[in-house]
Parts: sequence; C-alpha cells; structure tokens
Amino acid sequence: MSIFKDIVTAIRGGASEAGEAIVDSQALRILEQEIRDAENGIREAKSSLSKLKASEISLRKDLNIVNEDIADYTASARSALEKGNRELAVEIASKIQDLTVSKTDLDERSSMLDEQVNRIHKVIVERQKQVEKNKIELQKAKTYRDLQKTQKTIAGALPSNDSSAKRVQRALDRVQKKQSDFDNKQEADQWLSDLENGSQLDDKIKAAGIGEQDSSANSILDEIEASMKK
Amino acid sequence: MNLEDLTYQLNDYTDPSGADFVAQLATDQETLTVTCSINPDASIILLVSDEQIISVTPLLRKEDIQTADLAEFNQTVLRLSPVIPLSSIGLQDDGTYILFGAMSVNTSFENIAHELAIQADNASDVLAALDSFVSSTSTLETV
Repeated sequence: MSIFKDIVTAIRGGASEAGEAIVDSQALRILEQEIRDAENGIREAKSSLSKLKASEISLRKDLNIVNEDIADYTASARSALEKGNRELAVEIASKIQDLTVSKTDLDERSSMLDEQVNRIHKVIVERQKQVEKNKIELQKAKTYRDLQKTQKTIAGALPSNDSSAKRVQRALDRVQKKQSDFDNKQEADQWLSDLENGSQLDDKIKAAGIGEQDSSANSILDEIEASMKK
Repeated sequence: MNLEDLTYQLNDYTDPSGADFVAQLATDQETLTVTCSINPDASIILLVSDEQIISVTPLLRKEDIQTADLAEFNQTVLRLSPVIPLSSIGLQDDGTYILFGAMSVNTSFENIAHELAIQADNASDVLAALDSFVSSTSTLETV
C-alpha cells in the first residue's frame, strides 16, 4: 500500500488542484476491506491457536501421568528386587518399557504441537503489526481526503469583502488590548500588594507608639481610671 | 463526539474566561464553522474523522504576501509554528495559509472548547506577528 507515497508525490509535484481526487475512494474502500479481512484472519488464527494450545496442555498432562507412572513402577521394581522377587521385577520392567515408548511418542507430539503454536503465534503478531500499519496509512489517506474536500470551505471562510491588511490591523489591536489588559491587571495586583504592605507598615508604626494614637474605648477607660486614682 | 452534538453544545457554552461560541453546521453536515467571541475574525472549520477532530482556521492567502517576500515569509512561518500553543501553521494546495490543530475523537467537550478558544486567540497572535509582510502589500490595495 503506497497511498501516503501518492500523497507525498502529489504535494511535492505541486500539481494537485483543489478537489482533485489523489486518494480515490475506491482505493480507500479496498484498503478498508483488506484491513477487515486481515482482522478476520487474525481472529480465526487466534481461535485455532487456542484449540492447539488446549491439546498441547492435555498432552502435557498425559505426559505428566506417564512420567509419574514410570517413577512409581521403577520404585516398585526396586522393592521387588530388594525382596528377591526377580520374576515380578521383570514383569514390572516390561511395563516400564511400554510406558517409555508412549512417553517418547507423547514427547514428540508435544514438541511438534509446541512448534506449531509458536509458528501461528508469530504469524498472528506479524499480521497484527501489518493491520496496525495499514490502519495508520488509512487514517493518513482519509485525513488528506477530508482536508482536500474542505479546502474550498476553509479558503471561503476568509472574508472576501475585507482586506487582509484590515484583518491584520484588527489582530494587532486585539493583541495590544490583550497586552494592556495584562498590564492593567499587573498594575492592579501591584496596587493591592502595596496596599497590603502599606497597612502592615502602619501597624508597625502604631506598635512602635509613633504617629496617631489609638483612641479606642479602652484608652478612654484608661484615662478615666487614671483620673479617679488622683 | 459528532458535529451535531458539538454544534448544539458550543452554541450553549461560555468558557471559564467568559468567551462564547457561534457554531454553524454546514448543510452537508460534514464541517462545522465556529467563531469564538475572543476573535470574531477567525472562522474555525472543524471536521471529524474516525480517530481525530481537525480544526482549521484560514489565516492569509498567498496573494496577500508580495512575491519577493514569500521565501522570508515562509521561513518566518516555519519558525513561528513550534512556538504557538496547540496549533500548527500549514499551507493548503490552493495557497491558503492555515492554522490547524488535531484532537482525538475522545476529547472531552470542555477540552475541545478550550482548544477552539486557544486557536482563535492564536490566529490573532500569528496575524499580528506577520503584520510587516501584509502591511507592505496593503499600500497596493485601493479600497
């Protein structure tokens, strides 16, 4: 898929007229169909993968059982030999041999299945990557197509009865107003902070007993009390 | 977010800074044209695809710039673009310089409105920044 390459070629060639269909909708539909098919393929592969995985698990369980049986029979054979029952030991040994044969068979089948599972898994991962790539490609193509389609609307949104110089002038005015609003706010903030700092200073001056004295009810009461003591 | 919902919500919305919007859906319902009160000159055209919402504001036409200045203008525009918050500058095939932004289709309404307000504001900033290129041609214009 080289839709993006076509877009780049068209842009670099500078040949594309507004509205010209560089990305034809048929190609987009085909790409969409391909993505859907690939996704279906992945879904099917996943379902057969999970079936294979299930038989792999059941094989491994069988294998475990055989291994345990072999271990058990080997222990029994050892006990039989210890007790001098050679005849029984031989019988057990032949059973162990049978088990070993089926163990080898199970081992082989298990490793074959394992290989198959890995192979399918790899294919799924690769296909998924491809689908993702195609989806991104499709998105680019669709965006290009949509923008191409709206070019006229966009260009038409520039007023034709109004010169660009006037629009730029209004933009300058707005930016200037934004700046002066900002400056005014700075000034207001400064005023507020001066006010706060100033009132703190007044408090300090008062605390130091300088300047206008407090004429609160308390100080009046103090004065009356002082006069009564005389 | 589809364009119809967006139209309805935008017309009914005032953002935290007090800006409001006028949104008009095209008759083919494929694009939405939005203006924000902070810059009534900027018409922002919105389109929605599978994954993204694209907002485009036309800035200037190639014809607005004197041919001799065009290379320098393009340089300035390229250097300006990374500095603009949330929007980029581009050029259409028909020679219209555009300011554009892209959002995920899952963007919340408030964030879409925020992006639109920013783009409207950016349009003023960019035009103001490029004024020397345009004013030089304005002397040629006979109103």
